[in-house]
Amino acid sequence: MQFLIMTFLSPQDLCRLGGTSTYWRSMVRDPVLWKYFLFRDMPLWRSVDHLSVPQVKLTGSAVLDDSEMQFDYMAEYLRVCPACRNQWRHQPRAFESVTSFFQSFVPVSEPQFAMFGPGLEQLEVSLMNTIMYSPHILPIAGIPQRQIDGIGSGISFKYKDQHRFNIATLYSTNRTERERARLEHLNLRSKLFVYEEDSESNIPLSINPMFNQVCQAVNGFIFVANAETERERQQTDVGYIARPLPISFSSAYCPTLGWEMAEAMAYSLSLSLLYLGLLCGNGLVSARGSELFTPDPSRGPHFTGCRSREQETFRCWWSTGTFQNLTEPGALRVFYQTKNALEWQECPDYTRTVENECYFNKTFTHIWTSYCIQLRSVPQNITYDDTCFTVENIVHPDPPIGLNWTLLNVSRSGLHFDVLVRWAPPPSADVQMGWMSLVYQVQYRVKNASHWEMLDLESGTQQSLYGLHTDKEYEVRVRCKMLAFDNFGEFSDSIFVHVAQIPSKESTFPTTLVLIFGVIGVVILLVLLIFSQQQRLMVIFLPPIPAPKIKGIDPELLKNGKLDQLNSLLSSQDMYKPDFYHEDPWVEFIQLDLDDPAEKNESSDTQHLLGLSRSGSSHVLNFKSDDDSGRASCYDPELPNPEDLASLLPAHSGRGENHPLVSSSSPSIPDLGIQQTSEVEETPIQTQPAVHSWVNMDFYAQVSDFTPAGGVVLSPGQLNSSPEKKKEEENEKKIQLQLLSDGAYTSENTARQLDVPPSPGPEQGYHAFPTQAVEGNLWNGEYLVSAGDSQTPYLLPEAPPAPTLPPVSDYTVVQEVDAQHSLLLNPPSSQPALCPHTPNKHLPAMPTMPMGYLTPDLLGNLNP
Amino acid sequence: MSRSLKQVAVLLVALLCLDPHGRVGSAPICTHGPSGCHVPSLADLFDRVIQHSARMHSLSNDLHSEFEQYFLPSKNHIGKIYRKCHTSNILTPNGKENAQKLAREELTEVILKLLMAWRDPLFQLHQSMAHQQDFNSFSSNKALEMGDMAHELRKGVEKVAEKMRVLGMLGNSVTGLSAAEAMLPISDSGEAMSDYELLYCFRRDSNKVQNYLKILKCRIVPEHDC
Repeated sequence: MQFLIMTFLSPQDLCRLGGTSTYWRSMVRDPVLWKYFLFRDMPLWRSVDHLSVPQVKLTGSAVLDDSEMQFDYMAEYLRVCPACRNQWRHQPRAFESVTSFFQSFVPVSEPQFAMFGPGLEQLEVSLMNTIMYSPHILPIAGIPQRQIDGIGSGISFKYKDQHRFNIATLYSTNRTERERARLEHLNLRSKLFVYEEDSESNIPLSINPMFNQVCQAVNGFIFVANAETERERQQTDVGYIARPLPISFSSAYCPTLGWEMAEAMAYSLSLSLLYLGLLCGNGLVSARGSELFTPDPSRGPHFTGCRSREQETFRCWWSTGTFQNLTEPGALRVFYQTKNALEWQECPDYTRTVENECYFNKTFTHIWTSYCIQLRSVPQNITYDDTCFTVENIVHPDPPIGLNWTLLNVSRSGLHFDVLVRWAPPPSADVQMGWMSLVYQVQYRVKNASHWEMLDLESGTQQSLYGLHTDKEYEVRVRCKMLAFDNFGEFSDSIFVHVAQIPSKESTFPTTLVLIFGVIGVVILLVLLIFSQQQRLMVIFLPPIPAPKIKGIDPELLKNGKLDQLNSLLSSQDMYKPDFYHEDPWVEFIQLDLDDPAEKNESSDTQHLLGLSRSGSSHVLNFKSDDDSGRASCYDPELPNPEDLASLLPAHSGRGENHPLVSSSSPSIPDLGIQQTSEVEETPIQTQPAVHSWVNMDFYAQVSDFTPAGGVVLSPGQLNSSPEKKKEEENEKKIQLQLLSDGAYTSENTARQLDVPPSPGPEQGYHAFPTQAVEGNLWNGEYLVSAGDSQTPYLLPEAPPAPTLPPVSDYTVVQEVDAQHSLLLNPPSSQPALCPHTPNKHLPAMPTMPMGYLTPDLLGNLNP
Repeated sequence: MSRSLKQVAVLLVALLCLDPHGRVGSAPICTHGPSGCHVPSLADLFDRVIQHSARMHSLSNDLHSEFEQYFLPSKNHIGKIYRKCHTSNILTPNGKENAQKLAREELTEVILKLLMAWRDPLFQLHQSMAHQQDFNSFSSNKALEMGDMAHELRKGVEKVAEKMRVLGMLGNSVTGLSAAEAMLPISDSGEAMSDYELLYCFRRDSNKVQNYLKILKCRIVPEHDC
């Protein structure tokens, strides 16, 4: 009853129960109970490692016999049970962490595990696929390139992004056969093992040598059982693993990850698998190493090989194996059979000098023919071994001879060198005729190193080795095989290649030095260049935006207020304070006009006055026109001009009717007119002063000139004097003059329209004007020149021609006006001039000179 | 008349060819002008066909080993299978000395026969490989390539034989090789052979052809170290 109850308890609880009293302690230790637990729980445990493999036979019987009574099932259970294991495993944690810390300094090669078993092969979706594509498992670092022939490859996993571990998969055979076997439920002969050749049984004899190599490389094995298959099938699985393993893994037992759904295992693969593999690994490999290489002692007499050196003859060798009674010659015989001769024949020639060798000379050697040979004991009529081959497939050429090397070159650093290795084909092989075509494989290694570097196959008899280190000695050897066949012959004798390290410091030092200095120099040069040519570089890289250039009279300059500069620098008329100018002169001018007629009426000299006034007005006009010209295209001034003209003309004609016109044109005029009339009497001199600008000064000066002119017609002296004055200002004014002339054109046009009716010869005036203008320009130019000194002579010659007139010209505008006026009124005046027109247009003046010229014609026209 | 002239010319050419320095001997044959035209000498032709046969052999070897890897558990079993290739009826010298003893005409004939016999089987091989999913297209392409190579090689050997005949080194006996005769061996092999067997046989035969060609060359153009 107690037992029954205890079976429902967990082992842990039982242990606690056992701790309560001695009675329970003895009760709890009952082997029957623990054996029950063991058998009940074991299939449920996820893993069993080699330390915890139960040492009991899984007999399955719950009844204990005497021997088993002695067995401590409790201890066994506790040792095996994973939960219990974990308990004691974690005990040494204190120092474990320290050791693992130290171990982390030791570079560990990637752990490798080999996975095999039916679980790998019998699943619909292969376990490897599940492992590779399941997200719950470790990321795959890669698939190794090396593939084991026909058996499989493997996967590299990454653990915690740092450590890699590799799992190689060992399949029993290739995929297509596996598929077929899975579908047809066949039992496969695993390629991992070598089976007894003729028997159909699946009992492996030994382990495949290829697998053998794998076993040496791996740290552990993982046996994958197939949990999908039914229970009895598991028994065969057990057999599968139990049979081969005791042979090779006697001392250690491989962990079985069985009895568990493959997928479930895959999920839990990550760490537990690693643990298991590591745990089982070491003991396993050590066990294997010793066992797998010992030759199978149980093997009887057998052939050890057949070889041909030159594809013309061949030899076969055999071993008596364990059968020591057959060692004496003649006890074993070799028989062979070819396609041509179907009956078995005995070996044509047993070599006397060599034990257990049969030699087939040229007559008995047929290439491309299947040979089958048997090893027989004739008296006992037992065939111990047989094998078949064709001669071309057993050709192992003799090693090449005459290996030597020549130094190709040494690197500049003196650290590396290249050599050319030469050899001669084996003398036995008929290479020249081509009966054998050989390819050679050169191998080299640092002397005493374990790893041979292998070069590609070479069909010639020389090959270069590149990049050898000067301080190391190399061992080089060559072997050969037939082209398109597999069997290599023996290696040739090694040669040693060594090139003493050349003291190359002298050579390397200067070059590096030169390099360094060169670089530094270039850098310095660059810096200098940049600093010195900064501007240019700036220009090159950042070209300046071209500043806008405005030609002619620039309002900009005006804005700047540098009028003086403007005047002097530019040869074109400038504007002088145009603002106030506009209005004032107008008014005055008009007033003058008004006055003039009045004066006319009043006095006989009115004309004179008129002239004066006109001259004044003309001056004003001139100024206005100047303004215009200064403003270039501006034509405000033009309008006044015509008006002026109108006013002037009437005045000139002496009609009072015109006054209203004028007044009407400028309403403001009348008011001012009164004031100015008084002024008018005082005359121009006063009126002029009203104007503030220096132009006024001119005017003033002109007026002064004028007055005499008006009075005396023309007084050279005064004229002369006036020119002088003028000249002073004229430097500045000449520009004005030009402008005036320009203005004259414009005014001309207007004048035409307005003047036509009143003035009889406006046209002539017009005609005259252009010339005048030209002349004026010339004159101006001369003037300028005179001012500039350089062209004074020019002026001089012109001056002389018209002694009387020149002064007028000198007077420029004013004089002209005067002259005109005077002309009109007083013929004596030398310059009939253009009459009213001219003044209107631009009286100003300069035209004086031209006037002088023209005067005759105009006079003629006007006077009548 | 013209025939005798031709023969004379051929004799002359042959003499020239036999000259120790005689690779230039082929120059007179060239009708397009003495300078620009280079007709390969017999030795060159031989070199070409030999190279071609070597390539063919290594190709067959590659394919054969692929087959082995996929379909045969271990190499030990190869020898056990007693194979009868469809070319077994063609009597071939099976050793260096035998081959050397054989007349040039016979050797040439053997080579041509072997190559002829492989024309159709190689085509069949390609067909069957193309229809099997086990092979990637690479392998079946190899089979196709092999067939082409065998064809070209046959053409090349025929050309060489023709030239040898022109040069008077070969009797006319080889000319009797008709297509029907060459096809005979194929019709003999009644049962279909597996791809693997075909490959095995072809690998062996291509090796044969290669070696025969070498021996033939050595005998025809002896100045090359033979």
